Amino acid sequence: MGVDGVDFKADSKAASEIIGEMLLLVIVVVLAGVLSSNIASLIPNVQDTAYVDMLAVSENGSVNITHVGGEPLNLAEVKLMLDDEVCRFDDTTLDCETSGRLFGNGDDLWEFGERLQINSSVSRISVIYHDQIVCKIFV
Amino acid sequence: MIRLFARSSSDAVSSVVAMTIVLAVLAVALPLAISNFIPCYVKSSEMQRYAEAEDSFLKIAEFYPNSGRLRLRLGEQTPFGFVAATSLKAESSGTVEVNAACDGGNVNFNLQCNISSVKLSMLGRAIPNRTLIFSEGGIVVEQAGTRIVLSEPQIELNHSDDSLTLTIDCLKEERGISGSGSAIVDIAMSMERWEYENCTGYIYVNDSIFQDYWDEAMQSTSGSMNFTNKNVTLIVRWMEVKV
Repeated sequence: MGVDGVDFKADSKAASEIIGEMLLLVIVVVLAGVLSSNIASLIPNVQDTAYVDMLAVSENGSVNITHVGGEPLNLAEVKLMLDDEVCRFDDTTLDCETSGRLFGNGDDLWEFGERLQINSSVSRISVIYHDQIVCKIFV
Repeated sequence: MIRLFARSSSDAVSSVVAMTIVLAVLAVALPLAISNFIPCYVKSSEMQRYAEAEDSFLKIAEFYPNSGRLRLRLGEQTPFGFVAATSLKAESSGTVEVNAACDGGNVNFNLQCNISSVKLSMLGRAIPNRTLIFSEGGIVVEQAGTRIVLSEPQIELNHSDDSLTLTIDCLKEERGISGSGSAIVDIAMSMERWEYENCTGYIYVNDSIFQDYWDEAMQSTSGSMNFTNKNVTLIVRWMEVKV
């Protein structure tokens, strides 16, 4: 027997309420997580593509590509598809069979007004940035 | 009795749970949208608007030196604010002065005019500002105070031992337009031609865009050129922009 004649062992009504609340909380947390992840995937997929404008001029067996507008490109993230050859930048020179060099201020960005000289008469050039083609040039 | 009633009533529980779920969803979805979707959407809209405005503006080079019409796309009002604020201005980019005494001093002429240029300025929130300038048949792009010549001007200054022919583009009146939506811009060109015999005088050009090309044509570094005893043909193309 307990205080004032209440038998605590026999009366367990409060326990079921706590268990019920706990279950509800778990369900709420799980549902909120599931719904949130679903809503995130429902948001329209607008890709963050770099905006850049290039001008290519072919002369004397070489091709000059000038950045003529838009965002600066980080050279470490730039890939060039020259016909069927993929090139990356090593510092400001091209790291592939076709030779080329970026004429600019020497930093690690390809900025407005800076010119890439490719010492080969390539005809199809794609500028790839963050694995997206930002510019396709047919010389 | 009162205690029993309080324990068995759970009417409010579902409302609270629903509200908690809604709040949780909002708390997760809103920062996601603000940090990812909105900047990308604004940038994408601006890129599209820039491209449309440039495409329509560059048509000017197709009909030059004749008259033509531009259907120009300006800025856009999106659910997330105004993007790609665009303005078009027809303004002077410098002056040309031709002064001569001809036919043994019997005829004097003096022509002064403002060189015509049309400027398309695009101000972006997510991408760099950009200005395209069309003047004398050439196109220049300007970004962050730096200019690049996209196509060279068609400066017509031909001189031989006894003749000189000069063609200049002059602006009638400065005009401008900015805002949102589409605009129709008429570019009217009208030509005047004068011929003088046995002239002695000078040409002075102050062109803020294509001065180098004028200097090359005049074989000068001072922006001026003197001539003696030449038959002069002067052609002026007047440009008038109607918005």
